[in-house]
Amino acid sequence: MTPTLFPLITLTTLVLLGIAQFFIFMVVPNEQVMGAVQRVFYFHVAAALACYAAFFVVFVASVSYLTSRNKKHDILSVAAGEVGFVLCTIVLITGMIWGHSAWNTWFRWEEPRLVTFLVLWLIFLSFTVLRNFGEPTKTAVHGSILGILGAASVPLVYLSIKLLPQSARLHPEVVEHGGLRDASYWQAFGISVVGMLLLCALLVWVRYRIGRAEDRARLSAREDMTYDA
Amino acid sequence: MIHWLRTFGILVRKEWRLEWRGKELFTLLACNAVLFSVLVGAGVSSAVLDERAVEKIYPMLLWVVFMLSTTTSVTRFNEQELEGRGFEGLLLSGVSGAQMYLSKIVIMTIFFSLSFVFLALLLSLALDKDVSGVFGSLCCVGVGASSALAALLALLAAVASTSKLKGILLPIISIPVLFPVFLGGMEMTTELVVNGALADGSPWPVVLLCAATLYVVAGINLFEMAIRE
Amino acid sequence: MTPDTFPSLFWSYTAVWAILAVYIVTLGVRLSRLEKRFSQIEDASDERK
Repeated sequence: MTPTLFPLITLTTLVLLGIAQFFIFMVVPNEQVMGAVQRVFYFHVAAALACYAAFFVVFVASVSYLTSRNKKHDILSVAAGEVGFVLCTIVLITGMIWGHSAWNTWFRWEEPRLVTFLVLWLIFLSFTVLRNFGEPTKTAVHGSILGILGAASVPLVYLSIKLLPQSARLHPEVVEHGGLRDASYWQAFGISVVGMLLLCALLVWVRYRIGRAEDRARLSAREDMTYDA
Repeated sequence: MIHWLRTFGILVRKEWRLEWRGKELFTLLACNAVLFSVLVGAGVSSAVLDERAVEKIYPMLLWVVFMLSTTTSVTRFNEQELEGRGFEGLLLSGVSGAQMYLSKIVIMTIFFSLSFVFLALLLSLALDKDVSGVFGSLCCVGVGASSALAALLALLAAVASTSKLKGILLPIISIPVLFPVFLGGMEMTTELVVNGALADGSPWPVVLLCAATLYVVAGINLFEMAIRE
Repeated sequence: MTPDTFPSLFWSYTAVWAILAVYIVTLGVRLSRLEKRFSQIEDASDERK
């Protein structure tokens, strides 16, 4: 199944992202308040949703690894963690670009969503560091524990930052306030989200296959050593 | 239940004796508290801040120093049990991971609370900020936050102790997850230092309680997996 | 006056996505070859036993 499905999904993702680019740069009009910079929104929000999806996969794969001890689930959690880290970086960078244009500053500590994503990025970073520098025989269990803890604490992190007294709620509430009035805004947004989610799934899949290959190589080497001995 | 409590009591005594014999956590907490306070005191004095500014930065500095000193001090907390295969012996004798974990929380909470009180005093001297009027309430906040901190660090210390990075890994993996505790503690301290009491309907005690509950539930379920591998 | 369309940005982003897609497809092909090779090695190892 893989040899045909893989190029097909890659092609679909590319086509969807291409259409999204076309809408973003050639069709949607400039937003009235924020102007041309609002186009960052389509990358920013789509990457944020894909990042949440990756984090959810880390959580589910970690729980299922600890309950089943199936190595495939651990490899999936590593793959989703790494892809989530990249997507989180994209969210932060695009958010800062957008923020600089909207608020004239690169980062605001009063802004709950921006700070939540910074903490989320740190959690992904710590997850990746632990995976790379942990004790090799224990990283699977330890990484899963951190994956569960990190994912479970994200809502609390968001809530606590939102509770800060000086919290100014500066984040542009584009969707909540009905900012996408033109039909082309919604079309561009929808296609970007689907394209980015597909890209996330594709990257996780590739990383998962690399992880599986690494695992098979390790097993073969071990079997070879046992046989030679 | 009585048997469970008796075993738990024995484990708490064991943790206390281990710490009493080595005095590692105590020494590290005290040394880090002094070192960080001296650095902060020297840095702030060179900035020539007025009394109002010191009142505002005291809570922030107290919590930054407290978080850094605790997360860098507990890295060797499980060392003796790992070297002497103490965990294995306890598990073979029928003691549950949850009991071991809870006994560690008790000892850590005691030491972290003492460290917090010591730090609050040291920083009030270093910054020349009188906190005697709210010292009792400040200690209560410290004990509450210490229990949440202990609940997470008892679990993550077991994760970090076998890593190649050891000492430096624990702050990296714990600080992002501890963000709600940091914000909660800092905001409550600000309310105490600036207004003389916690604000009516302050949400921060609930945030601390939620964080502590989340970490304890995770720790009870995951600690045994972290040490058993 | 800010223009409403950005053709150069559209083409540059499309080029970036295309390069990424080519890279992913290349990775996929190399992984498929690797997986096939692993299966062969595992089969040979089973026979040797």
